[in-house]
Amino acid sequence: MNIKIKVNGQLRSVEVEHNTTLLQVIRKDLNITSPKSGCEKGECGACTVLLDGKPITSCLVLAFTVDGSEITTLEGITPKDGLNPIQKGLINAGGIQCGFCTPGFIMSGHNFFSKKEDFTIDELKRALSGNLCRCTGYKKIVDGMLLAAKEMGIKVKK
Amino acid sequence: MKKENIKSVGRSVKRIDAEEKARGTSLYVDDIKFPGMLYAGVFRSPIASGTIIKLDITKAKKVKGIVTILTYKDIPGKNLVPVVFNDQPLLVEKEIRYVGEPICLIAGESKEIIKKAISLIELTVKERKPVLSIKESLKSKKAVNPEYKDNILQYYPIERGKVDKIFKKAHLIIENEYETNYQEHAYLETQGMVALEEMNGIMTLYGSMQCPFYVQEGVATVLGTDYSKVSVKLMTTGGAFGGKEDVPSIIGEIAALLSKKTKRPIKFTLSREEDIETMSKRHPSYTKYRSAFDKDGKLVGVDIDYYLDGGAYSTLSPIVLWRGVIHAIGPYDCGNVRINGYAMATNKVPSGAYRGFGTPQIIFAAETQMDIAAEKLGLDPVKIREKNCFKKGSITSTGQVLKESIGILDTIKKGKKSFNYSERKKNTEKFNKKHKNLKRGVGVASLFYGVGLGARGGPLQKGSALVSLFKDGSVQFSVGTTEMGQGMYTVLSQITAESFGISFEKVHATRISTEKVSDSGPTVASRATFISGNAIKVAVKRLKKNLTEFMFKEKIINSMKNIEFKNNNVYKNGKKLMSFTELAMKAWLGRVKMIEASWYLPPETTYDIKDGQGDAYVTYSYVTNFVEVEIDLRTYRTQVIDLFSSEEFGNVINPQLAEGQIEGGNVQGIGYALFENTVLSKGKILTNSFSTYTIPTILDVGELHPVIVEKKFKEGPFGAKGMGEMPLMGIAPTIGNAIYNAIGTRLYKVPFTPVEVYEEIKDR
Ligand code: FES
Ligand code: FES
Repeated sequence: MNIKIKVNGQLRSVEVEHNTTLLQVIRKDLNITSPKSGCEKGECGACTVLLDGKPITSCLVLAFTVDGSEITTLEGITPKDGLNPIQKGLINAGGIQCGFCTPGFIMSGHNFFSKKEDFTIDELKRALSGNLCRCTGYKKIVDGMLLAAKEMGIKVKK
Repeated sequence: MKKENIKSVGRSVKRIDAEEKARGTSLYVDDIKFPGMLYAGVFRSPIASGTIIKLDITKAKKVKGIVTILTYKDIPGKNLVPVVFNDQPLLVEKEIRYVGEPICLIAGESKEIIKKAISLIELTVKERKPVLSIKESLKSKKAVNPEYKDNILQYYPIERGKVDKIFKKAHLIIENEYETNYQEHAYLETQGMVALEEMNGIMTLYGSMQCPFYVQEGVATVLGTDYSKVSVKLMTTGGAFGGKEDVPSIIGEIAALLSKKTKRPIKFTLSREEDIETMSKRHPSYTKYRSAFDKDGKLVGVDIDYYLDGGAYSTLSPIVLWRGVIHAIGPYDCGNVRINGYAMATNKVPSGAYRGFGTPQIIFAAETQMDIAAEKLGLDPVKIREKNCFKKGSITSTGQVLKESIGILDTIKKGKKSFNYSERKKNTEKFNKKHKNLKRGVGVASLFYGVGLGARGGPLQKGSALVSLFKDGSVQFSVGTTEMGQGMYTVLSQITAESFGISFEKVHATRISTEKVSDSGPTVASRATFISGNAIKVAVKRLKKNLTEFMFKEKIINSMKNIEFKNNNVYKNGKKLMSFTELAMKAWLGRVKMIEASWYLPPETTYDIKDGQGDAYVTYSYVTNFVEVEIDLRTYRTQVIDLFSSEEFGNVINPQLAEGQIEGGNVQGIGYALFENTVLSKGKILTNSFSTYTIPTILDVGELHPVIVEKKFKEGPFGAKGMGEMPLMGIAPTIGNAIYNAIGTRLYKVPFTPVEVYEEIKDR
C-alpha cells in the first residue's frame, strides 16, 4: 500500500507492506541513515525519531499506521551550517565515542528540552533512560546535555 | 617575545570524528548500499551436538528472490575460520558442535525472503548428549572435538618457588571457589560486512571490525585466492570491545563467498538475536583459589586452578587463558606461585575476546581473597593492598622484575584520598544504623594489566604506519590498528602533530585499510596507542630526516645538527629558519621523498611454556577502584552510589578521551557485576535481547569519578602505555567487597543479581 508522510518538512510517498516498519522506510526507502538499528525490538533507542513531535522507537512502529504523519529525524533538527546546542554539548563534553547511539540520544534530548524552562538532573536521566549506550558510561552524555541546556538558557532545578 | 608553544599531546582536543557522528552522517556498514546489492542469511544448527543425516535445500531454493544457497561443498578454498589452532570450519560438514553453528549460506533480494527460505530448509540430525559446562567437560570421556584427545583446548602452568612448603607453615590459608557467567559485548552496532568484487577482481570488504588483516586471511582462505586479491576496509565501527576481534572473519567469509558466487555485492548484517546467540563472548569461568599469608599480612603463597569455558572451538581461548593465568595473582609480589589454567571445550558457541581478555574472571577471585584475608588478619582492605602491591624491583608471578613506571601504590593513595575513604566508611556505618532496609558499604580492589600482546603474541607483535606530507604542509596518516569508538584516530593525530611540531588541525587520519599498511595484528590488548603511536613516530622521524637532508643539500643549513620542528616552524640552534609550510613546498619542488611507510617492533618479551616464567609483557598499567554501594534488603538490588577508578597508564595523550574510556569501561564492569546474566537451555542462549540480557542504562550507573595518575613510560609514545581494558576488569570484586562491607554476605558468583544475593543471604 502507499503511504504519505512528511519527513523533515518534505512530503514523501512510499510503497509499504503490512509489516514494513517506519525505521525500514526511513533507512531503506528514504535513504535517511541517522536513525540506527540496534535491536529492532524497541529496547535500545538507537532508532528514535519524532512522530508528530513525540519521540518514538521507529523500529516498533508499522509504517502504514503513520500515514499522514510528520516525522523528524536528526537530519531535520541539524542546522545546515553549524550545529544545534545538543550536538555542540555532546562534542565538547566528550559524550560521543562510537557514535552509534548518538542520533537517538540527541532526539530524546531534543524532545526533553523543547518548551522547557527548567528541569532536574533526575528528570533528564529519566528522559534518556530508553537510550542505551555501551561506550561512554553515560556521564559525558549527561554533561553534554547540561552544556546544551546552559546554551539554551534552560535552568537546572535542585 | 616568547611565542606560545604549540602542543597537541596532553590536551583534550575534540575527537576528529565527533562532528560527523553528532550530525549522524558517519557511515556504518548498514548505511551503505551498492547497485545490485543482495542480502545474506545463514541457516544454523538448532541443536548443540549431533550428526547431520540429511540436508534438503530444494524447497528453499525455489523461493522467489533467493539467488543462491551454499553448503560447505561450495567453498572453493578451505572450509576454515583461521584463528590460532585452525580447528573451526566455517560451515558444518557433518558434525554439529553448538547451537547456531552455520550450515548453509543464503543470498537473496531481501532479508524477509531469506527468512522464508531458511524456514523451508529441512535438516535431519542424529542428536548426541551435549557437554554444556566446565564440570561436564572435565568429566566427559568423549572429546567435543575429535581433533583433540580430550576436552582441554589449552593448558598453561605457572610454577614458582616452593608452594607446598609455604602452605604447610602459613599463618593463614584462605580457600574458596568462584564462578563467573558469560558477558556479552552488546556493542550497539551488531556485526556486519559488505563484500563485492571491485576493480581488477579484488574482493573488497567494508566492515565493522578490530582486525582487517584477520578478515583478509579468512576471506583468502575460503575463496582459495591470494591474500593480495582481498582488500578489507574499515567503516565507522559502532563499538567492539573484543567482540569484533576474530569473529568478523566469519562475517567477511560469508559475505565474500556469496558475493563471489552471485557476482553481486552482498550485505551481511546480524540481527541482535543472531548476534547474541552466535558471536563470541566473555568466557564463563570456574576457579579454585588458595592463598597463604604470613602473620603480618604478606601474601606468601598462591595455588590456583583456573578453568575457562571455551565453547566448541578453540578460537582465541589459548591467548585469553594465557592472559588470565599471568594476571591471576594480581599486582602483588609473591614468591611461591602455582597456577594451572585450562580452557575447556563444551558444546556451546565459542567464547572469545572481551575487554580484559580472561582477567576479569580471575581478578574477581583474587581480589575477593585479598578482602577476606584483610578481615581475618584484622587489617584494613586498603592497607593489605598497600603492603603487598608491586614496588620498584618487585617480581611478578612469571619472574619478571619490574623496573619502571609502576603506579600501583600511587593509584591506591590517590584513589583513597579522592574517595575520602575513612570518612566515607564512617558515614556508611552511621547510615546503616539509621536504616533498616537500606545498607551501604565501601569496597576496594586493585589490579595490573600487561600492555600489548606480550610474549604469546608471537608474530602479531608489530605495527606499521604510512605518513605522507603534502606540499601545503598538511599531513595524512594511516595505520594498521582500527578505530571502533575508543578515539584512536584522534590520539594518533595528536601524536603525529606533536612529532612534527605542527598544529593538530593540520593532521588527518584516513580510513584503515589493508591496502595502505602491512599486517599490524589486531586492535586489542590496549595496544593501539603504543604500537601505532610508535610506528607513526618512526615514520615522522624519517620524514624529518628527509627534510633536514634536503635543507643541507640546498645550503639552507650548514650542518644537520640542532634542527628542531616545533610551533609550525623549523629552527636551527633555536633560530627560526622558515615555517613548516614553506619547507614542505620547497621540499616538494625539490623532489624530496614526502611519504614514509614505517615499522615498529616492541621490545622483546619472553615466556617459557613449561613453568610459565619470563618477561611476559613489555610493561604494565595499574588500577585501584573504590566504590560505595547501597543494597535494598527488600529487593536485594544493589545500586552503585560512587565509583572512583584510580588508574595509571603512563602519560596521558588526551585526558578527556582517557576519562571516557574509564567511565565506559567502569559501566561495563558494573553491568558484569550486577546485571548481565546469560541463561541457556540445552546450549541455546535464551537471553538474546536487551530485555532479557540487561545492560546498564543511564539510571543504573551511579556517579563515576575517574582519577588519573601519570607515570611516564620511556618506550611509550610521549610516555604513554595503554588503558582501554582496565576500567572494566576489577569492578566485580570492588562491588562484591562493598556488598560484603554493607551486609556481611560474601558473594562467590558473578553476576550479583538480586536472586544471587538472596540465595547467599538465605543460606547464611
Ligand atoms: S532499533 Fe529500535 S529501539 Fe533498538
Ligand atoms: S557511543 Fe557507542 S554506543 Fe554510545
